[in-house]
Amino acid sequence: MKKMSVEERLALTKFEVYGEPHIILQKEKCKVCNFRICISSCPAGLFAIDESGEITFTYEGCLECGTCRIVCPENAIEWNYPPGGFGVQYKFG
Amino acid sequence: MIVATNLRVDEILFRDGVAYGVRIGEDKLEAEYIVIAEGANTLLLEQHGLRARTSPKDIAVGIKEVIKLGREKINERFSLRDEEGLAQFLISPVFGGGFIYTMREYVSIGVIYKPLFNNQVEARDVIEELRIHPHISKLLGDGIPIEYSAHIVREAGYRDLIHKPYGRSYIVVGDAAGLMLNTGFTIRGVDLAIESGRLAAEAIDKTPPGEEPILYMKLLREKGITTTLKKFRKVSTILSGQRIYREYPEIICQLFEKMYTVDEFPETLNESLKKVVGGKTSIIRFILQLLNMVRNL
Repeated sequence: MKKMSVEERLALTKFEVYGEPHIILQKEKCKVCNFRICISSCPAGLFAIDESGEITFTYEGCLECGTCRIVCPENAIEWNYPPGGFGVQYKFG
Repeated sequence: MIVATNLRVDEILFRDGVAYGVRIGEDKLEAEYIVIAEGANTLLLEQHGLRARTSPKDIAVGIKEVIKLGREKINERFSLRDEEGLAQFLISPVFGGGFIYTMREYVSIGVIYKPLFNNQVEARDVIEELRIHPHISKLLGDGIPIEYSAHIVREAGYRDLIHKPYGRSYIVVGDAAGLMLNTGFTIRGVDLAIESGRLAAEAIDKTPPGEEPILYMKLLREKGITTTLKKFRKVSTILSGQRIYREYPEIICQLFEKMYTVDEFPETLNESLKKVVGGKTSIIRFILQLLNMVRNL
């Protein structure tokens, strides 16, 4: 049996993407952080490091678990749910 | 009565310490009572100072896949009949704690990922380690994954319980209040959430408006909810170590492998145990750890 990539798995789940991000990174705080636990602990794999070493983040595909806000040692993540009706649409809770 | 769903509450409105409504974007919705049931991700409670900022060591994230398999195959492979169902907990050195449970047409598999562990696999990949595990893939290999999801789990147990899950004209229920019981063998949250909601209704019904519904706390105690949480208060500390998910499963697997391997010079159980445990810790320490664990679970 073959492993599915996280992108393949996210494609199974339904999203109503809102026009503005519901999670905002204060990137100046990320610059002083060496821990970068957001990257390993996001189950949707939405955090990454670009060529310049800066943290990148996309909100589309967010499973809305809230892990990133809690694990961030710099308190750099402003987290909210998307407005009502938007965001992840779980069928199985 | 109006039932309005699909609205995001941005703030709880207080006047002189009495909750009187919620703010949804630009709109204000007033009510006699506010029941805070926001779940494990306690944004509102933290915003209003009713809870301390959630600590990373107190949470794990449950990562789940739902797989469509069909009733017939589910019954056959899990040895079930008719409307029976099955739920199992799993432990693995690779993915830590996990679960599998059947529904009518679907099977859910999941892992409980602890971000602060020294994880061998990143959160986004860990569920696939479970799905392709020989045991699971034999059961679900021809099933079709249909949903991928994640949800945080508050794991601290009694320590996480809000001391005063109520105030003037508001009550906190379910995960938000910290009503999550981890006995070490089962994890319970849904039933406590339902029951706390029912008890909140009873307390609201019997408390005059503007007064504190202290009855709620009494009902939680009388129904054995808070007392049971207290009884299992040491479990989270024991399970927060890496041993139970990493070292012990490895020891057990290696031990059985040695015991059942047929070769020229078979070892006694004692010899195998010494070899397997010896690489990690001393036998006496291992036994003491086990005893301590059993005593507190």
